[in-house]
Amino acid sequence: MSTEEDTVQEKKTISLKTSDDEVFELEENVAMEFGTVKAFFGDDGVPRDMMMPIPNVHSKELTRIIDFCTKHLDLKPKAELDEAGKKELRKFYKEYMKEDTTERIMELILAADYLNVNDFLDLLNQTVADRISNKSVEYVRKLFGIESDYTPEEEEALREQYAWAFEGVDEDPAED
Amino acid sequence: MVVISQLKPIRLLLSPSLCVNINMALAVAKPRKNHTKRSVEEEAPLYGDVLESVLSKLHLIHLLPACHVSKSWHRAVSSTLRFSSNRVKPWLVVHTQTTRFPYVVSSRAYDPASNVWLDVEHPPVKSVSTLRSSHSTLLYMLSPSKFAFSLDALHLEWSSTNTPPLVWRTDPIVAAVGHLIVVAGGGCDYEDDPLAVEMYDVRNGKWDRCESMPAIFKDSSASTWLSVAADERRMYVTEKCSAVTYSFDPESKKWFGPYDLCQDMAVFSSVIGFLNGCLVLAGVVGEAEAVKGIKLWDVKMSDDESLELGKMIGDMPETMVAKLKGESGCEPLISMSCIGGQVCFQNASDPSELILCELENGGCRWSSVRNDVVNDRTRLQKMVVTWANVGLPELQKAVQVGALKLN
Repeated sequence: MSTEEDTVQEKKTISLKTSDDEVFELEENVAMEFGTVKAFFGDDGVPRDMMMPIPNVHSKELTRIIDFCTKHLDLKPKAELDEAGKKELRKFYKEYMKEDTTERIMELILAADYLNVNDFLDLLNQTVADRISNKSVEYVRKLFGIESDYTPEEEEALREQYAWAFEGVDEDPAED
Repeated sequence: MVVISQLKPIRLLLSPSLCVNINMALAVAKPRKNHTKRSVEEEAPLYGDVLESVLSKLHLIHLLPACHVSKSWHRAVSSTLRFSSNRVKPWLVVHTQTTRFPYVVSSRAYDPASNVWLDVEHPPVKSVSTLRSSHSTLLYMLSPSKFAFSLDALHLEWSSTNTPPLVWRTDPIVAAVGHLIVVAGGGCDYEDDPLAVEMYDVRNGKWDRCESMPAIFKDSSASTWLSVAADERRMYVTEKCSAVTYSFDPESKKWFGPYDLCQDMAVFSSVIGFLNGCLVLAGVVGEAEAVKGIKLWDVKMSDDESLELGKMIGDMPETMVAKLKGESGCEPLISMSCIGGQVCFQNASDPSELILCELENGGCRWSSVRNDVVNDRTRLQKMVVTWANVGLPELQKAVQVGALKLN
């Protein structure tokens, strides 16, 4: 079943169907930011009006990814023009993920990775990296719910040898 | 029926779990059905490629705690370091020594990969005399009664010989060749042989006499007039003004040469170093009072170990030359340190800018870094620059002994 392409308007759209059976119609230039979509339609004439299923992505994540790509596509050419544009792009990167919990970021990473949205993936990875940068071992474990897979003896030896890595610079991982 | 072609293979997904206790190789692919039924508390796991992508964004020093989160994180850290070779670069370490008793040595390190300067708090070094470095990774101090040296990357450990060199020297050339430290020339005038050469074996703590330096170095055997480079096998000495070069073989304790490495008549001063295992020569072009530029040449070594100048591999951009010369107006005293494929040029008359060059794909990538150590106080102090290969083990050790602080 394919949706009808809107042949009346100039802008072409691409249809994507998410894991929760929602159909999104995106502008072609935004959709082509997704490496997976670009590869799917390719050069050898897979018709653009064909709906592409993306069973590994939920509508919640797709909405956010589309939001990022749309804004990013708008800011990127401006950044290449002048310093003010560059500043605006930098600010965008800095602020975009501020309110998101680490859990949310992880979900977005999986979706962005599946869809091959490199610019967003880069930002997401950097955001997680910044959040674990220079945090203690315990903080990181708590943040991701990781249980140490060292034996009690190994764990004790580690704590003794690398005491500094287990202490200090901790803030409460106040994640929702 | 929709034909799915060229679709990216479905990523291997582990069903959400609080425990990353499973061998990643056994991860089973599961399509994400019933996404909305996933519990809010469950956190998406961070592992495999995703973990490595995140870790690759961290600077080396911030990877230390990540090593100990779990065994799989430890593997991910090792993997990310192995495959992102452009993120782990040698560090530049700038050492300063005060000119008054107790001649305190301070060190500050620069990591080019993360563009970060860090203080290195090493245990107080018992002052022997002026801090020196003949070539890029060795630090030493020499007095009539003592010879102390440091060979480790961040110079946290110092050793001294039981007895000083037999010959009293003021300013010899010193090089580490494998496990031997060669001390050559610089002997005081009243010594029988100011060109005497001695070798210290780090393994057994013994000194040994060798063939003296070639007579050509008679008036210039001090480190000011000579440039030194060494690899695991030999030491190479170049007279800066003439580019005449000799090599010294510790095994036979003999000198070989001379090799004339002067080719470009515009070069008035030459210094040597090892880049990617090959000898290179940097020639300062122009005149002492008017430096015009710096060029880098390959030095060819034939089967019989003789040397000759090869092709030019680099030419310092004018802007960098200007930065190196600085604004002091004094005659530049240019020295070069090398490690791996990295070079650092420094002007002792005005060390405010360090010019770096990285050899890649047969060409040179030039950059400059403001010397963070230079201020009104340190400008009058003795300053020495060395390179350090700092990997995770060196970093771990440095942080453990309190030499580096994560901040």
